[in-house]
Amino acid sequence: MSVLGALVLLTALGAAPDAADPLAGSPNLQFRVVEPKPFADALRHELVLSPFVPQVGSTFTTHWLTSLTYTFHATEWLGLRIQPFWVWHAQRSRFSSELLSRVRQDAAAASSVMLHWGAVAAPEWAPLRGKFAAFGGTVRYGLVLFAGAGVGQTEIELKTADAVGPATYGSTGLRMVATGGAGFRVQLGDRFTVRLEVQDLIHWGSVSHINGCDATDLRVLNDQHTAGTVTGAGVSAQCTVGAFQGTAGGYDRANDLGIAQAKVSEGGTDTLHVVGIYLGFGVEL
Amino acid sequence: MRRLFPLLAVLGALGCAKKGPSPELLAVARAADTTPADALALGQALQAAHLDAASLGPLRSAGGAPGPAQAAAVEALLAAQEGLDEQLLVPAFLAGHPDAQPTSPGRQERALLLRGLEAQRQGALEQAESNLRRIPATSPLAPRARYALGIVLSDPRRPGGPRMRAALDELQAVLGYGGGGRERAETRALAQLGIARLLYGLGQDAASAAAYDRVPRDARVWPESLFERGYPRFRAGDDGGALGTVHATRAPQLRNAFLPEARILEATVLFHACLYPETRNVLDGFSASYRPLSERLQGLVDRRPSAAEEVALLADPAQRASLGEGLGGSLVAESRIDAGLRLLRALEEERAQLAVAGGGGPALEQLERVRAEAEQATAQAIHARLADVSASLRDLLEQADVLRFEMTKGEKELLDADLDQRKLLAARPLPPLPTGGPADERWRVDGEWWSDEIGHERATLKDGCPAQKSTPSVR
Amino acid sequence: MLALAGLAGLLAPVRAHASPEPPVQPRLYPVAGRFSLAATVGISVFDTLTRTGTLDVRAGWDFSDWLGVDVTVTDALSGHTALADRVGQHLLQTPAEGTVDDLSDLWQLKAMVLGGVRLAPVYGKFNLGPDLPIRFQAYLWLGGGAAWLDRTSVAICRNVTSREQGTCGDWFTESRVAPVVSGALGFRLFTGVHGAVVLELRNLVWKDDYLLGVDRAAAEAGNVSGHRAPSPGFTNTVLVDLGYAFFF
Repeated sequence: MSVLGALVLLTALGAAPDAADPLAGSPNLQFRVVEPKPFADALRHELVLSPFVPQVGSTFTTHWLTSLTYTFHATEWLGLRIQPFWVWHAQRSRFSSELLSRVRQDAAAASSVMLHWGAVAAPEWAPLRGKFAAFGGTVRYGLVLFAGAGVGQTEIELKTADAVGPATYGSTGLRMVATGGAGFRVQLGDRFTVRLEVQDLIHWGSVSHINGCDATDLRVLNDQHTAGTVTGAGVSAQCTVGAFQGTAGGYDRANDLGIAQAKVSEGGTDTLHVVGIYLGFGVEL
Repeated sequence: MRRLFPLLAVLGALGCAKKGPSPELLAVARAADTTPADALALGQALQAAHLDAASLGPLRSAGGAPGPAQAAAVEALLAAQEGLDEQLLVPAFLAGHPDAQPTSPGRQERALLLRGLEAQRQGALEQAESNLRRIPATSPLAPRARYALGIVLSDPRRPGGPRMRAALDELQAVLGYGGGGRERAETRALAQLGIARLLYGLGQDAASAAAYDRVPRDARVWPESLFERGYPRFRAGDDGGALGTVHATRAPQLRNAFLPEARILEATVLFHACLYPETRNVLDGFSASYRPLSERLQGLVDRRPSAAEEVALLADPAQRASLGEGLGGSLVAESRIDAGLRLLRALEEERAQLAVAGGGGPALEQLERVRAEAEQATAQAIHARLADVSASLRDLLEQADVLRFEMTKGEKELLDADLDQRKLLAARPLPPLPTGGPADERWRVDGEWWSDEIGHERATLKDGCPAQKSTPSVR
Repeated sequence: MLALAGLAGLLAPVRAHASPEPPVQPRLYPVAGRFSLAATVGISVFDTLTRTGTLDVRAGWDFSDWLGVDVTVTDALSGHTALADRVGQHLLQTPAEGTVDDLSDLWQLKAMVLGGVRLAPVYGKFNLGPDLPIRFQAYLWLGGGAAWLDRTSVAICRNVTSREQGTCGDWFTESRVAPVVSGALGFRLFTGVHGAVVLELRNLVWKDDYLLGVDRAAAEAGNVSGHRAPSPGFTNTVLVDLGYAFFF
């Protein structure tokens, strides 16, 4: 080091350290950051695909579904979402199977109804916005809350999967579906979003019809099956007799009639919740 | 030349060879340079061996002598300048040899640019303007040339006076050049800053503030724009906006920016509102930080250290950091100083290679001469900048003293009027803070600085004046 | 000023930017090098046959703002759900013929000791109002320990008190200490330099264990037979914890 450098160092040792903010704590002035959102949402359209939504916390059923959500952001904090979904995997849960195989007990019919597909609409509210620092960058996010309703097509398992053949299902008709949920929405640039939400699809009711056939229709058809041939005569117009005819993997679908009749005759109602974790990837237009 | 052609060919092929002195490099190190042709051959051979810094010496020798080797030497010299981004020796050479011209149109444009910049630096504004105007608008160097031309046109020393509108037009034109990577983005940022400053000079405060806001946040000059945008806001009566933006320069993220003037502007805004305790706190902090620095710099400048000492002041990280207040980093970021330090580092590395290869010879002698000149030129640039900073700090410290004096007068007036300012301020409510629009995020300022928030601060402050006061002059 | 600054700026070399500054400086609520003590209460969610409530006491050390370690001692209250009671009741109402396999996921947490690593790469804030920012850390917790577990069967009864009503005076019970693995996603919402609300979603995993092929009649006579399930699987218990942490 040169003499000059040593002199600079020595004199610098006496220099004052960086001063703290002398204006902090003054009662006569106040500061606030007013920062424009880098990417505004108002009057924009967002499409979010949640390709794999696993149901969590279910007792008797397991749903895996895919959901596509269209959201119109009317303002920065209010929007409207329309969300069709398709359940591509719905079956008896592991617990339900265990209950049946080990202690020979089954869930009530009303508690075993599963969603097949549907669509819901809901207003969406984003009351909180924030940001976080992670891995050297800053990411903006918002908390979203929504609640609404729609419709869903439901079904119920008739024959369980066994050595004879795969499980068979019967339609239990369209039901109203209420929905509610909350989650976080992260904006990545002007175009892309990621959402992580927990959403509950709620449906309720009893099992009064299977494949459009009520208890009387099913008794008639079952009697015909016992007699030899299911003709479909004497049943109501909305009863889909064809669903109980033919084979499925070598299994005679007419054998479902007894099961269906038993389930319809059970009675009882239940409110079912399909709570899913929705990880979605979106594009904002 | 012909006898060295095979040598050049081999050197080109061995350009990427493993480290260690090759026989060809050995030959280069010992090659003679007695004639311009020999010097040209030596320079070209050194370039082929990727020893661009070392090639500056023989190429300047060849380029300075009229004759058949001159054009090729200037061509090669400009190639080396471009590769090294050298800004001290080659521009000075070109300025001193106005007849030395390269062969290719691209290099000719580069020569015009460098001559123009050197002329501007030396105050020969007419010549600078003439050189810069000759670069066509379609040239890749056009953005830099037009930016420099805008600066020249706005220079108050310009013969016939500054032409602000024309300067604005040139700077606006720079913004229209897209692409070009980081270098061109930096030029656009500088042009944007220049536009903001010109608009402020023309008294268009709103347009000036908006222009400052458009300087990109990732630009090297963004901290300057952040503090300078306080001026048009303050002059337009937006004390809260001025105080907010200049207060943001206290963010730790900007600790490597040297912005002493920001504290004076901060104090001026507070003084304008008659907030004397706050003004005093800011000035005390300013004096505590910058008075010792000013004294240190004054000692450095008066002492006139040797070139080696001056360069070591910035080249040595410990000495650089000891300058304090972000000054060292700020100086190193200046283009000519940075170019000089890089050239010296390159020369040192190439000297080591040549020394291992030949242990002496004309190449090494030329390199030593270039190194001495580069050190001298870099030291001059550093010294000039230190002198500027020293003078500027003295001015600012005087301004601080003026503000203290004015404050004393103001406080005396309050005493004479039997007014207790504390009671006066306590009785006055704080004006409401701006809330922004629905697409704005609002955050409290509480000592935690988020990088994206810097520059979006707003302030509200009470008026501590018993009656309307005239605005003190600001720079 | 304009000319000099402009010229000085013109030939700015295009250098690579220095390593980026941390986006937040300085953190208002740093945790690096600090010791923390926390207490949380938790309840299980997604219950099927058992439900659990916990009380945790944790001691932690943060090496840096993003890495820390915790040791947790847990006391738990747990029991059967109404569904489990119904399953047992319905089974006892059937004749005690043949064998029965016990159900999985019936072990209940009684106490636990855990140790683990906390990774908190996320530091953020949100506004409850324009001047009320809440700062938080989000973290992932991974670790393991030992759990004291009890199990009460719903399929193996050693003393049927009423066949019609399906009541049992002595269900088959077991106890053990088992290794447990845990992962959690949590938030620390800072209320000040010295405190934070802790909100956590925690998963506990231990290996299940139960009997298969138990002769019902023999069991009801007091003689529990059967064999251990060769692949019993694992039990997941998901808890939501809420508490408060003090930083020293």
